[in-house]
Amino acid sequence: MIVITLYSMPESPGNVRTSWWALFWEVLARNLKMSIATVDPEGRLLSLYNHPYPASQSQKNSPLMAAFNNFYSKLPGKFAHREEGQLVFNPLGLPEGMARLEDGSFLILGGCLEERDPQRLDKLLEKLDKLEAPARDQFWAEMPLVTPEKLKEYLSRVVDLYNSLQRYHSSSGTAELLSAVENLDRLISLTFNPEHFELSATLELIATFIVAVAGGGGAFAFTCEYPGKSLTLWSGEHAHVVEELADIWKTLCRTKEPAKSFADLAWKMIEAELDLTFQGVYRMHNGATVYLGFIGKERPYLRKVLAALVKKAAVALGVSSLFRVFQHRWGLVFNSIMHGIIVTDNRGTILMMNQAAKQFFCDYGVKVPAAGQKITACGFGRQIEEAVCIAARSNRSFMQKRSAIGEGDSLAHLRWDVVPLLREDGCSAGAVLVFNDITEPVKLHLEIQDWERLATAGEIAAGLAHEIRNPLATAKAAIQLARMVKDPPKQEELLNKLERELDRLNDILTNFLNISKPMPEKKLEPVNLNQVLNELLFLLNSEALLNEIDLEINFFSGKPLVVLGSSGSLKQVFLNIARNAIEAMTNGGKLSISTSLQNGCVHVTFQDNGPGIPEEYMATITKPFFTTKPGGTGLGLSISSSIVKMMGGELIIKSALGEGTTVNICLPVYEDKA
Amino acid sequence: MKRVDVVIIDDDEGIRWVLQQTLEMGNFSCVAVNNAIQGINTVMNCHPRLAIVDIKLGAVNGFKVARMIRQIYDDVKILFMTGYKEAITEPIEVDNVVGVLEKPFDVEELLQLVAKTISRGSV
Repeated sequence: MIVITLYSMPESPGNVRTSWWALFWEVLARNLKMSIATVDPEGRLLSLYNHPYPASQSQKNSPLMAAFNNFYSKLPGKFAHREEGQLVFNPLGLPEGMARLEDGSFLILGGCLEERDPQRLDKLLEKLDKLEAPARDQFWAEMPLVTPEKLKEYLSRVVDLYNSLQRYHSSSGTAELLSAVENLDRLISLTFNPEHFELSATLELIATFIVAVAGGGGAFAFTCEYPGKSLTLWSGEHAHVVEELADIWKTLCRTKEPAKSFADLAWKMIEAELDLTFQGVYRMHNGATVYLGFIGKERPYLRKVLAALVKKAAVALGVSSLFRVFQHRWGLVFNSIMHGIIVTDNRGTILMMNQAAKQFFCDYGVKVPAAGQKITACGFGRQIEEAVCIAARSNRSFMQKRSAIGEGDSLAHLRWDVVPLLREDGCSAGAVLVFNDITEPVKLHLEIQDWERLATAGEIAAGLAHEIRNPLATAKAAIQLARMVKDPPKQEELLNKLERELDRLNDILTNFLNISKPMPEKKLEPVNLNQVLNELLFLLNSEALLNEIDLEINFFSGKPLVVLGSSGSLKQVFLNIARNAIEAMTNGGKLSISTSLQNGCVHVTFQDNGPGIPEEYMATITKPFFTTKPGGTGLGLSISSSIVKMMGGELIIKSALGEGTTVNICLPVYEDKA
Repeated sequence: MKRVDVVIIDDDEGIRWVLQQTLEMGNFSCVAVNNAIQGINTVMNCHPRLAIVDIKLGAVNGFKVARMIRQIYDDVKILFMTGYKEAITEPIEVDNVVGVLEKPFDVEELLQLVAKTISRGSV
């Protein structure tokens, strides 16, 4: 990150605004991941650290910077009409907290995304485009989300810290110093959350605070977490000295207790050679060491300040290692999951992916997309990409979806879920894609389907042969007989028979073709089911009467039951099922036909109290050519079933031996959208 | 009931009709029925010399019918009929079976077979 600190140093005495103040603001802004500006009472910008936008000299005259300068210059005037701590909105529409400092200048802190505003990103991007902001995508990526309450809390902590430091500088009193330390402590505590926390930023803030308290000089914070792993930071002057000290620290880090020997070496090097004072304190925490040091002019109470701060630094170290352990453990869990997991932010940029996801790309010989690339780099296809983008921006989930991606050898079948990465307030901060490679099971399933298709084809062939050979045999015999008989009326009779059998052959073929292609001639249209059934009643009544069947009708009388279908085909279905029931009840019985409306589906139910269907027939009952009826073709239920499926419905048969059979046809209700 | 030469058990109306025509032309007396139960009853009542039984007869197949006929009269010859010989998976382990007639059949061959069977049976 490039940081250009814009500050002016007014000559007026008593206003302590030296270079280390600019450093203080810069470090504070980086720590809070917010923009911090100070403006003098006349509206002149004293310092600005614009997070996360790198403000460089070339951008000084850009529309963006012009808008910001205009904004800051009008602040003092605006502030007269506002209450303390009220929020203002900067040229990017982002909330800023504003407060008057004790020295008369203004502090403006914020410029982060409003956590509760779901449209925050769109608004920001729109403004960025309008202001011709370069590298616009950097903006939102590094911005924390805050609520107005949280922003006000940060503001008051920063104001307290600044004011107490200023008071200490004007009075040099112990009470003011302790109050400043206390205020720093409270500010740092605010940043102890997994989303915000960065050990280096916290230590840098502490070092900067030491320099600010001392009114100059240099300060450093060295840590040693594991042998060989160290973190070195410094703030303020005497960079070359600190660099030498850092080298010493790095060497000593490999020893068991680096702090003791370090103090001796540092003291000798600095006090003996540089005529500067050196003060240092260290603290150990769970085997890790943090060393805070100061190089500069002797100051009273500095040792006490260091002692107080090193405690906080040690806590920060503890927090850091805790987060690291958590991350490590969580990483183990994350990578142990067999499903591929890809986490994106709310712009569809990949943040992380687990081992299973990486393995998936390797398996298909695809380059593993890196964190920071867009989700589109995964080549998952539009369906998944759109789901990720929608989930990342709203809180919609996509569960149990399936997609086929790629082609040829690299064709993969995925079962996937996309869920939004929800924050505490319910807004989406990104998306989590969980996927499972089901290519092998799908291939197996397709193979099994092929086998089943072949087996069914075999059954159909057998049924077809049987059905066709009957009329064929009759026809052939009729021809032979016609040749043999000399009697013309007999010949005529045989020829009539021949013609009827040829018609029958044609009917069988027509029916057979209808199974695979039901209703080729008709388009689906809205059909009133009760009306269709009423038209059939005349026919059914007479058949029921002939077969001594008691027909009971119970039709739904609420709104019309309209489905999308073809009335002719539906009549065929209802007639087939009703006739099956009537023919099954050879000794009479009861057939009740009812319609009802349940869960957006129309149900037509045929219930008989016939002998029922033996269980071994249930699986094959809707297959073509299955019949137990003498003279039956075995096509009725099969055709009925495929007609109902065509209309998006389902035909369900339940039967109990000795009790009867219930056939339920459910069809989705047609909603007129016009 | 009067004894007949042949009982035909087939669920297909066309087949029954044409078999009756054929057999009558060959001067054989016959009765045709369309299901297994009626078939058994008719065989019992008419004690035919030959029963022509379709193998595919709905719930009760032709083999079962033949076994039951055999239990009633052990001198009734059986001629099976099928439209799909390839589908016969169980071995035909019924006595008195004179053959399997494949549809479509030849009228003259059928008549010869019936004549042969009945005359042999009457010897």
